[in-house]
Amino acid sequence: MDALTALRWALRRDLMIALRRKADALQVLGFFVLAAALFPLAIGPQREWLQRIGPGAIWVCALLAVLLALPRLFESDHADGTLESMLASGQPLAGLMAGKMLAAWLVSGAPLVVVSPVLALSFDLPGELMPLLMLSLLLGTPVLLCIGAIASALTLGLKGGSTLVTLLCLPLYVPVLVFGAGALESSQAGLSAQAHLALLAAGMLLTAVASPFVAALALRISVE
Amino acid sequence: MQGCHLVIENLTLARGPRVLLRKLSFEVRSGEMLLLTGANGTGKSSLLRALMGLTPLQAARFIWTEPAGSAREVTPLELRSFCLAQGHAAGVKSELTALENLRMVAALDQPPGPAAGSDQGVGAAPEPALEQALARVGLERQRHIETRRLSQGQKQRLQLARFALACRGPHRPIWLMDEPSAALDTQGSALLQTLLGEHLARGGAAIVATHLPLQSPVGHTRHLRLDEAPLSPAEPAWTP
Repeated sequence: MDALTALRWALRRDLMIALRRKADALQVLGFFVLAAALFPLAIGPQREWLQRIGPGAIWVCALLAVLLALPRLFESDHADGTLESMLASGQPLAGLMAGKMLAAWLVSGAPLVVVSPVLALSFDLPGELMPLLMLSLLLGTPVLLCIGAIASALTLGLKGGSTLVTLLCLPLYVPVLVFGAGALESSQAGLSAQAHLALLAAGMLLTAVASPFVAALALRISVE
Repeated sequence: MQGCHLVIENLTLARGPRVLLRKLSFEVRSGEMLLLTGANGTGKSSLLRALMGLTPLQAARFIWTEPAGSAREVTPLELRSFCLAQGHAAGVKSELTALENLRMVAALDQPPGPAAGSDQGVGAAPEPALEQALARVGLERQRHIETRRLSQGQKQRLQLARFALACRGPHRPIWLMDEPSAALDTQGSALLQTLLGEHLARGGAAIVATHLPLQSPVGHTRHLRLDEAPLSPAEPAWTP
């Protein structure tokens, strides 16, 4: 196997497993939808307020939903020993990690992007904002997942690991949140969202390239 | 595959402050099986995990002689690509069927690096070979059943299918097995012996940790007792 075959191997494997365990993906999506739907209920039908908080609320909910998906990334593989066979096989681990992360994004990240316009409706966000909302989530959720993958690789096998993952990740998620929600806010204010989106895209490229290697290294340490 | 030879020199292994193995030297060559024996906690599994590259060794030199090649020193990372490892856990994904599990792990067991043939895609082993391997370990009727419905022993048989497949295919000359017979019935153990015998006959080598004596020694068997020189508890921690 070369690195690309390893990526395809892990992607196919994790997608197959996700297909057999649909509940996992639905949980994340369900959390996202329900949590975001709470805001309009709590605030009431004041249109200006909803439009004002809408982008931020949707983004925070997406962020928390991704956090919810993180513990499963390596834990089940660690528990049944398949992670060890991956490590012991001598195959390119970063390739395997990249495949796993891509699969995790397709299963838990991409659905968030797809349903976000529905949630935007509940905040009465104008229709022009929908493509921007989707684009910002499309660029932002991979960053969230890549950072989270490193954190969950580091905390693998620790007791209370998932709480630790949350604590490790949230500070690192702040810039993503600022630029993601910021893109929508500046667009609402009549400014260009280009700078925000460019920064998000840069972040995505950087984490997508670097995080498989870092996560591979972190896994080797935590499996010891 | 004839004529491979692995020498391990001055291996020191510590878990935390406790030194499990100190300056252990041993070797294994083609056609040989090295049986690791010893009481619980003497470091059989730890040694195997270290050889699998899962835990770091405090010190060790690996000298590897390729089949029909000259001896050279290899890193633990390189060592991994000659070894086919079976860990303590079953290593079976419970959501996938037996056949899918084997197909996946067979691709993982291919030699690392760029594929030799152009047709070596994700599922490198041909389907008939997979079916045949499953039939050999007596799982042909279970091949389309999700493995969470299989018993512990059947899962271990699925592991054996991996080795049955490796007996046919190219490659990894050293088998590392940690308690391969723990959950197997007599038939399964017999199969394990047969597979080991075939592997050794092909010129492979195996390092096997076990409590149970393997019934009939296959090939040439060497024993390594890890608890022969017990370390006193007062022994100071190993320092580099």
